[in-house]
Amino acid sequence: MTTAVLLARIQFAFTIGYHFLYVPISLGLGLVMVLAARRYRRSGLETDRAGAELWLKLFAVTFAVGVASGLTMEFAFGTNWASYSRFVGNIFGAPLAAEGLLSFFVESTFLGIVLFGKTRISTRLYYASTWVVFGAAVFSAFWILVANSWMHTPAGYVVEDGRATLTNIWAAIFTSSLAPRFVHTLVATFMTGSFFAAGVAAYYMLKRRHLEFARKAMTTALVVALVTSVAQPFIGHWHALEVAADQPVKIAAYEGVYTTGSHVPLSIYGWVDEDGQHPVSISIPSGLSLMLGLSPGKVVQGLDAVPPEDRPPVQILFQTWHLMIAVGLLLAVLALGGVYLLWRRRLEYSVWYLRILTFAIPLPVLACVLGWMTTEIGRQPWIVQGELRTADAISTNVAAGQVATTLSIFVVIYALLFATWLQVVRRTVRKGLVEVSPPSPEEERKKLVDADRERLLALPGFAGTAHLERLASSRRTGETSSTRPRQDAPEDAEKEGS
Amino acid sequence: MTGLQVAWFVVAAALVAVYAILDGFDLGIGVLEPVLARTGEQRSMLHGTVGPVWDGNEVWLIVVGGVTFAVFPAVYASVLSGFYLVFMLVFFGLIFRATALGLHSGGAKGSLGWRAAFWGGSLLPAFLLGVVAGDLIRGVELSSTGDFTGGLGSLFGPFAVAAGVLSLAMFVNQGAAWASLKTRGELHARAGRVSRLTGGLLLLVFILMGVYAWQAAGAHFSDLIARPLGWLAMALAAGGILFQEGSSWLGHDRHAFLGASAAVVGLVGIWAVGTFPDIVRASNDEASSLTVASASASPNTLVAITVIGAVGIPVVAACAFLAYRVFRGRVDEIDGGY
Repeated sequence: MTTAVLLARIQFAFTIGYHFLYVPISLGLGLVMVLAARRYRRSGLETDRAGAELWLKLFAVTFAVGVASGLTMEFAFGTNWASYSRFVGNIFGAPLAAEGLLSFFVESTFLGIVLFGKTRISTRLYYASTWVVFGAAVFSAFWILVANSWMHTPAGYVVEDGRATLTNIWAAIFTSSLAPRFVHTLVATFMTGSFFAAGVAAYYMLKRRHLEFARKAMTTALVVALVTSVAQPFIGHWHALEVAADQPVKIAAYEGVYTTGSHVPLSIYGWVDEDGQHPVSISIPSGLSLMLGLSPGKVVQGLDAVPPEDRPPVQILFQTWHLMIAVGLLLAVLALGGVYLLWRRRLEYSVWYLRILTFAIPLPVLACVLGWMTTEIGRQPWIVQGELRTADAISTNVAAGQVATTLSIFVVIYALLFATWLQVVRRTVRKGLVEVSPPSPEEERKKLVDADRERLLALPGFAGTAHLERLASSRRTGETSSTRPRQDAPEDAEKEGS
Repeated sequence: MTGLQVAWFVVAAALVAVYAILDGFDLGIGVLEPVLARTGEQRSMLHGTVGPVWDGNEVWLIVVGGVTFAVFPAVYASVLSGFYLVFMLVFFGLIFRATALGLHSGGAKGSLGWRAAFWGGSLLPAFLLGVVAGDLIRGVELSSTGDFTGGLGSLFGPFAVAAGVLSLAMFVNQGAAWASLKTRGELHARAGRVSRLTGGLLLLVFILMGVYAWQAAGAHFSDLIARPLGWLAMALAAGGILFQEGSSWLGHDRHAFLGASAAVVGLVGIWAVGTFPDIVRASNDEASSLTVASASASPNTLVAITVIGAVGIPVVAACAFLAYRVFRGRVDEIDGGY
């Protein structure tokens, strides 16, 4: 591999890996935000409103960093992977354009409305808007995974003049790996969001702050965390079966299987002896054969099925794959423990468990990144499985030095951005809920007088204020309101009315 | 050259124009912030004019990228790799801006460093996107595979730099017109004065640039003046600025902004009409140029993307309408934030 290829790969891995830190958090927080907005809409309680606001704010700052780091990704295929772009342009561009046209605009418009439009729209539209933002984010993930799945399991095309040409759009969109990949990824983001919410709630419980909010948030978060983290191994298994069928070399690399054969064990923990060509691990005998074919006699294809130059790097895949599974299972155990404590009504006083929950916030993100590394490195040396090698995909006219320059700038800017994001998130969580105390009876009366003024001033031909004065005193407020300036519809009135 | 190819060239040019109008005003606001806002309160008001919409405005750039990739993949590959460092600087600028706006909104509280990031992050794209346009108009050296062969220095020739100045003037003028439309009080009065100044400046640069292009970018210029649409685009650019100036004197802020936006459409139109049917003009060998026909995706892809566009473009228009309707009127203070 030349330096230019290596640098292009490092830059892409770094920038998209960085982007992918924020994607699961924002998608997951999107779900949390929608559920919180729903609770407020049903109860109308001030605590619930402030709680929904808190999640919205955390979602929005994460989303902002996601947008900033996602912008470069839309162009990265052209800047660094021009040969790839020329090869796949007929297929790969369409889902990216669809993502922009069908979800980004909807997402950004309604996020703007949710963030800045509170006083300009009704509560009902506000609540609907949170759903629209979340739905558009999920739809956006769908299109990106359409494009990504095509790279793993290309379909619906023929190669003409060294370019992939579209023959069947439906086959190109709904490739065989799309469904398991999409469900697996989406559930992972929900795990991320629920553990984030549980961690924040645990923080408040430990500090004995906002207990009412923390209890509600914790219950929802733990239930979602339990459902998703218990379902995830099964969904992952579904995905693995698909990979075994479509990209058998990948599975062989995950488990360090060099020789094709039956009774292949399933490693739990260990490493790969690459010279001796076998894994050194604690393993379940015939486990992989059983997982993939429900029979110890199932023949599993090994790395020897393809020449060495067509094999992905084995050791790193073995590690990312097993670590991802370990973290995922750990999260399932955590969620199970949490729900048990909740059921025994001991959660709030289980200080150690709550501490673990606050430290568990980054764990699902770690699992997401490991899973992403597993699937992408597993496809190597191909950028489009079986069609185009990564080494042949770069921009040939971009010098290695230029990539090295931009890569170092990316590292600096992104580190700064990460620090800023973390600081804003911590500040937001520390500040906690911003509750607005309900208006006093005095203020309520004032509002009534103002409303009367509004109505009278709107009457055609109304000039005198004497009548107003009488009206004001009839409300027995004890103050004259004739000097009060005209007021536009007070914002609080709208919120309380709904 | 098929009808669909031409139609998508028109759509792509229209997307560029809308991007330049919308992100134009918020990049312009960024560049003008030190001039317009004297107090924290005024900075806050200025941020409030772009707060709810800047993110949506930048989405237009993303869509320009996505649509170009889908419809003219050869252009996407050549231009982005050819202008590698230029585009990277544009992205770094936009990332800084997004951070300054998204994580430090309420500008009043923003530290000097973040204010500088907002300013510089707005200035870089406003200037560099014009440099790219200038190079495309003048032509670049292309290999037979469509790769740029000139070095980085060749992208910053005097003509490209002049085009960068023109685009900077255009974005700044757009920002001033927007500030004058959306603010109140002292800031509003100052924005009005500044917008009349930037309008005059834009007209001056535009005329000088016309003379320069006649000398330096002959191929583009002669195609432009040979086509009725070219004259229409030039009239729109000049007329838009004059209309903006007149309306601003009379205090019609809305008309002034429309005039400035019409000028943007005219300027983008001048690029599109003059360059057609080339998209990337090869200065060394006319046959290597990437044209609407040679750079386009295959017919099946064009049909697929046309279906996506037929659903998507109305959605986009509806969103833009909704956003600008909900946030119509002048800004008093920010009533929300990240």
